[in-house]
Amino acid sequence: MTHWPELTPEMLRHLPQSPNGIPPVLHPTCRTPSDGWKRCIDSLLAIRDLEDDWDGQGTPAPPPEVVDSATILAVLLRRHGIRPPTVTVQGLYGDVAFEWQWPDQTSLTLEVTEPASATLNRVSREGNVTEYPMLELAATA
Amino acid sequence: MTPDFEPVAPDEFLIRCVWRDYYDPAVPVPVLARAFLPRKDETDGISVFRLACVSTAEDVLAVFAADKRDGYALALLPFAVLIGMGLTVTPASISTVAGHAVIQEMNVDRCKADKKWCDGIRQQLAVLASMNVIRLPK
Repeated sequence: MTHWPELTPEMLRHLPQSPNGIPPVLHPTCRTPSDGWKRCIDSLLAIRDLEDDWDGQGTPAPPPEVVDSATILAVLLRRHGIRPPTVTVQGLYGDVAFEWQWPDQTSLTLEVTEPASATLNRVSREGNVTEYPMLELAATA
Repeated sequence: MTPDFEPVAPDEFLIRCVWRDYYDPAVPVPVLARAFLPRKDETDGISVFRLACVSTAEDVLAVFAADKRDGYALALLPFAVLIGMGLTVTPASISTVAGHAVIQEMNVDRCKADKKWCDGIRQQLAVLASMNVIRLPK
């Protein structure tokens, strides 16, 4: 079993924390950040139930260990005061993504690509991309 | 209708099929950028369909198994805007549905080699598609 490393302020500083800056959009079905994290966890549970070919294009379901790792990360992020993602979705390559969106159509995506490994990037509506290689979270045995 | 072997004209509209999990009308960018990521086998670019080559936009859903069709949203992309983004769309006929074409630059190899460029284009396509969703998933 691989574990997430301790999330340091350096790792977390590019993620939306209350009350710094303009907050990302909370999904309109949620009234509070707590609701938002519940929605995120519910999405992860649904993703864990996906089967291969979920979209009719032969796309494999994310491996359970990736979904479980994303779920643990969600719990850790919540504990560190990070705002809940606007949406939580599975990818085409067995990954799971947390996506925060802002009213100006900027998106920040944290992608769990394998157990205890994630990447982060921010993209503006004009397509300007900022990658945060410092936030790549290395797995520890 | 336009024969689908003819080059795509600048005033055409392209249809992109978007799986329901990648569409959420309640958020600032309803069509997620992830809807434009090339699949492993999309070495010649991501798939779109030419509106000019079909009777109705929904015709393109025939490319999917019957039990999956309701899961797709359809979004229109004006080709003229894609040209402005530096993208090329070429016909790529398939047997099941008329009007199949590909956005050449958005192929799996280029997106692996230049992820930052690909991520930027995907977001622009997502914003564009979000303004022109013509069919909602059921």
